Amino acid sequence: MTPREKIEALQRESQQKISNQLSGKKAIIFVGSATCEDAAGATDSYTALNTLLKEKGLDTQFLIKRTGCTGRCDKEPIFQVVDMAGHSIVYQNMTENKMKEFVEKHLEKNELVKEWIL
Amino acid sequence: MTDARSTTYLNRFGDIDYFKKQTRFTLRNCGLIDPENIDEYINARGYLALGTILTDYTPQRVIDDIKASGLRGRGGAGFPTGLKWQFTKDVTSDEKYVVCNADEGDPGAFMDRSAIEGDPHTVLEGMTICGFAIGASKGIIYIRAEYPLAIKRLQIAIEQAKQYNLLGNNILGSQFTFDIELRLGAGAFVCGEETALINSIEGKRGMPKPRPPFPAVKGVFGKPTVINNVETWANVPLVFLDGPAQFSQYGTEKSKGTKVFALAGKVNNTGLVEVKMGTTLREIIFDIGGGIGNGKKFKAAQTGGPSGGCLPEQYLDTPVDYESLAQAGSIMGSGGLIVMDEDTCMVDVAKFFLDFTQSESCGKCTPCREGTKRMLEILTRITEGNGKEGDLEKLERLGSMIKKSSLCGLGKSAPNPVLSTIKQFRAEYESHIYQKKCPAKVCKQLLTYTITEKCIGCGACKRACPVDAITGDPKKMHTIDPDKCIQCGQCFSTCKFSAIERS
Repeated sequence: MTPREKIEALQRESQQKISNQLSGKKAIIFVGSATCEDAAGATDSYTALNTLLKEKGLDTQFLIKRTGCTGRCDKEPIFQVVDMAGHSIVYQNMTENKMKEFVEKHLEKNELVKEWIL
Repeated sequence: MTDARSTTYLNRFGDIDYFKKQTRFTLRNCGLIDPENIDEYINARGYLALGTILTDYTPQRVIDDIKASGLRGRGGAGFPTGLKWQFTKDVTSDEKYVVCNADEGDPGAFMDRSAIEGDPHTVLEGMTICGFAIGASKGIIYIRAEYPLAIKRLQIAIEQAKQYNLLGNNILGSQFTFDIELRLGAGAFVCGEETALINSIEGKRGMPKPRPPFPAVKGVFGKPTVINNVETWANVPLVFLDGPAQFSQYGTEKSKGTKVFALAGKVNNTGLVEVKMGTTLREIIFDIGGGIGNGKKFKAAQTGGPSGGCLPEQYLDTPVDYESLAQAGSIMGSGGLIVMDEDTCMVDVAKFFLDFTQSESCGKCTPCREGTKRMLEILTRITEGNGKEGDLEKLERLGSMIKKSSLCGLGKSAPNPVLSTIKQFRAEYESHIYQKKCPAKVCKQLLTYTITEKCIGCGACKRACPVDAITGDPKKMHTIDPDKCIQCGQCFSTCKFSAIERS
C-alpha cells in the first residue's frame, strides 16, 4: 500500500470508530475545553453533566465530547448540542449550576432554553 | 475552500454573526473535534496531505507548491515561507531541523495557544511535511512553559501519531523518518526571537545573535533550520489538501490566505477571530467584534502587540495585510488586536508596552538595554506630571536610534508603540506635559479630586483616605486638601453618592 492508501484506510477506520460511538445516540454535546473554557468552569460543567447523564441513564442517548477553543471568549463555557441530522444549538455561559436544568429541559424534554442561546 | 471542513464549521455556528463573518481555515477544527483523539483529526482529512505527498511528491515539488500558494510567515515578519524552505533545502548538511515557534510572548495574544489546544495535529502534520521537503529528520516545538494544557495536548498528539505510524521511522510505510520533540521555554519574551530561541534550545542563555548567518543556513546546533510560527504550520496541510491555487484565491495580492487575531479590549465580542487577509479593521472590530461597549467611542486599535502601533479612527478602513498595516504605521505582528475607547490614555498605553519590552530586554546590546530604559524614564515622568519641554523630541530621537541600531526584533520594535502614539495623539502627550492633565482621566497623578454638593457628609471618604487629606464635619459637605492628596482614588471608589468628581 502506498502512504496515501494507508492514510485512506486509517480514515475509513476512524470513520467507523466514530460511527460506532454515535450509534443509538440522539445528540452530541460538545463542551469547549481549552484553557479559557476551563478557567470559566468548563471542567466542572463537564463532570457534572457526565454524572447527571449516568445517574439518569441518559448516557446511551447522549454523547459528550470535549473540544478545543471555541473562540468566543467572554461567553465561555460554550456548549454545542448537535442532533443526528446536524442541527446545532449553541449555548453560552454553561456553568455547573445550569447542568441540571439543561438536562431536564433540553435533553429530556427537547425544550430549548432561549435565554442561554448564543 | 468551500469544502467539507468549512461547511461543518458553518453548520455548527453559522447563524451566529460572530462566526458567520469569519473564514476559519487554520482554526477549521478548533471547537469541532476532540484534540486528544487522533481519529477525529484523521476523520477531518487529517494527515491526508502527508500521505499524498509521501506517495506522489518530490521534495522540490512540495516547496514549489508552498511558493505558489503565497504563504507568508505568520509570526509577524511575513517572510515568504516557500523561500525560507528553499534556502534550507539548498544547503548540504548531514542533519537539518524543523522548528515550531510556540513561545507566543505578546501580552494578550492567545492565537497559538488556542490553535494548539484545539487542533495540535495540524501543527505536527505541517512540520512533518516540511521535514520531507527540506531533508530533515528532527522537529522541535519550542513552547512556553506557561501553557501546560497546550503542552499536554501536544504530548498526547505526538504519542498518538507515533502509534499510527504518522511520526517516527518509515512514516506510513515510506522511506521518510521524522521525530518531533518538545522544548519548554522559561519565561523570556526575547526567546520568541528566532536566534534567541535557537540559543535556548541549545541550552545557552536566550540572547539573540547577529544575522547573517540566518537559521536557514546555520540554525540549531549550527545545522540548517526552518523555524516557523504555529499558525504558519497550521496553514501548511491546507495548501496541499485543496491545492496552492485554491489557497491563493483568498486574501490580497501580496498577502494570501487568512490571519487569526486575538480580539481583545473594549469590544463587545472578545475572542479568537480568523479572517481573510484584506478584511478591514472596521469589519473586524464592528461587524465581528460588535463594536465598542457601553456606548463609548472608538479611539484606537493596537495591532502587533508590544511591537506594533496604535491606529486611530481614520485608519479603520485599512485592510488587514502586511503592507497596508506597515504603511499605516503599525505591523501585522502575530495577531494581537487590542481595541481602545475614549477612556484609554494613549500615553499610559505606550508606557505599559514599553515597560514590558524594557523588562524583557535581554541586555546584550546597548541601544535596547539603555535606550528603552531612558525612554521609559521620560514616559513615566510625563504620566506623573513631570513632563518637560523637549521630552517628545527626545523620545522621537531615542526611538529612531533604538530602531536602527538594536541587534534583534525586540529592540527594533520596542519604540513602535511610543512613536506611533506620539505621531497620532501628539495633543494628548502635550496635554500631559504642558497642562499636566490626562484627558482620558487615567494617569493617577494628573487627576484632581473634588467633592461636590452631592456630598451628604457621611465621612466614608475621610476614613478611606490614607493621607488624611479630607476634612469635614458629620452631615456637612467635606473637602479634599489638594496639597495632601496623593491621587490614589480611594475616596472616589468609596463614595456611594457619586459626590466626588475627578478631572
